[in-house]
Amino acid sequence: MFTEPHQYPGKLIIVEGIDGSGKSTQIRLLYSWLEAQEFPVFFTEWNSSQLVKKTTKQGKKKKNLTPTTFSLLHLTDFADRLNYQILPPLKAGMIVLADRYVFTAFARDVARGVHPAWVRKAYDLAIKPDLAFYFHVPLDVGASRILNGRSKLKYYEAGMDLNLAPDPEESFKIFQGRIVKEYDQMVKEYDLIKIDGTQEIQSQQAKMRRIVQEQLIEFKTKRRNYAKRNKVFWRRFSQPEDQQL
Amino acid sequence: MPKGIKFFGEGFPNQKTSNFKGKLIVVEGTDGVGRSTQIELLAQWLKVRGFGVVTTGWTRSKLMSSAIEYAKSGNMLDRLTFSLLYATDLADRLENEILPALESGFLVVADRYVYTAWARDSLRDPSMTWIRDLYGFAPVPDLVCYLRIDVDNLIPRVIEAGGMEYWEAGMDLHLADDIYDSFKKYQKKLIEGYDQMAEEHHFEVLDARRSVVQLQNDLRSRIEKIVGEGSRNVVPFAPGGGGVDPMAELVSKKTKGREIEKKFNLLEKHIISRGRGSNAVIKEKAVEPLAGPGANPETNGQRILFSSLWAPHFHIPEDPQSRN
Repeated sequence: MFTEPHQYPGKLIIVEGIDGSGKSTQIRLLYSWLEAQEFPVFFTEWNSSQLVKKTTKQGKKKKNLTPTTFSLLHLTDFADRLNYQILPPLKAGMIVLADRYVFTAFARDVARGVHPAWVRKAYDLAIKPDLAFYFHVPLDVGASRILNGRSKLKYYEAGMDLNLAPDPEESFKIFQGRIVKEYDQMVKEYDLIKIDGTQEIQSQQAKMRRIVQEQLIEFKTKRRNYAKRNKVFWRRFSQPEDQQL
Repeated sequence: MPKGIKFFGEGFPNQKTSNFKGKLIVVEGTDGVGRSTQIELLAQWLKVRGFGVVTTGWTRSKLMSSAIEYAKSGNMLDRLTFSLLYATDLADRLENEILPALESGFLVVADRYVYTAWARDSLRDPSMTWIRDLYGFAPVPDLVCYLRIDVDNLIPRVIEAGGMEYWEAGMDLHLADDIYDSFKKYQKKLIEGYDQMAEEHHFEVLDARRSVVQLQNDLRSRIEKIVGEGSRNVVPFAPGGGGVDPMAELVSKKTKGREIEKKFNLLEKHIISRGRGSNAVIKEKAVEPLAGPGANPETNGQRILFSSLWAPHFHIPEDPQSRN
């Protein structure tokens, strides 16, 4: 399934890269640009479904997640979002923008020691994106952007569960190094469009927009004139506890 | 002899694959077939024989049980995501409970295993490729006991035990208009799925239409073959004695599972307090004098010998009433 192009009328555009590569900035800029042209756009983010949020949070807090359960929780999150956030807008002929996609799992989980073949088979339920951008930055650039920008590294974010180094920063760098290695290998494996994340923000965005524009030549669907509301395709029966205030 | 362990696929990262002394015994079967009752009896029997026993069951992991409850209570609508919650549950139990127990030489009795997931998912995708690959981390069990029943015999049992449940009836699949028809169709398909796997994965197939006691005896004889080697360590408790198995008595009274466990914990304590391996006989106090089915005429229901409980090839005497 993942190797074949999808048959839906919409378009799926995804961005990938290590933390601090600038991919989130870029996809948000792309979002505004597409919306300004009145394209119907839907945005979805890695690890954001309500279904396993609480479990993941608890597991992270108690530090009892193993590479396999960690991977499976992300896969569950992904399957949930695929069914309720990715497929419906694609079927409705919208442009879906995803901040991180399956390649994040391939990179991170394999860096954690999960078997590369297993994680690829497990994600076979995913659909192939129309465009996949990979933001490449040298390891020290990404790491310094993260280390300067945030107060403290989290346990799993730094890969502390792998016992790579006693110091979180040191561990983070080794872990990110492994992830970059996986990404670099996937550029060829999955034809990811490589973008130099060290360039100016505008020039990266210009390059991205040219490629997206080309992809959208045949794409005519414009947003109808309707009152703007949050795009929710499916509502849960009850509000999750952590959202009840 | 230490043995290696085989996995369906890739196994777990950083998993040592040598020196697993324990054995993984799986009890499979459709909803309401009596798995949990059988496993409870089985675990007690094995414990009495001196084996370290760990039981584990579907959705019982600490990590996932609340998320699964959350999903089941109507917060989720599709089977794919369900499959993944179950897979995460099993992975968590394997890494935190099952594999460490096997490594330390325990017998692990699992209530349902990957086959449950495969049978359920086969309704979504008959080729089962994805779901089989997904469970590549799971070790291949040493023995799979499949408690087989047909739908017609299953239905009265399920209704008697409290009725049909939404998910057990596969209501989400829209196979039929009402819960009864849906249950029938869904369970029939699941049983077909199990039957298919039974050949491929060499299940021990047990006819679960029989009484609890008959089925338990059959189950024990199959497990005997697997654990036989270890049973040499068992010290006979009261050689030569006859008697009635208290388990048979409890079963014949249709005592609920929890009560069985409670009574047995008491009995076990009693046995331990009297010292294992002695020729002592449990006093009348532990088990009330028997009357009715299961009573032993030779002992006049007064005094019960426990030798049978310890004998390696012990079988529970059948309840004469249940034969009808």
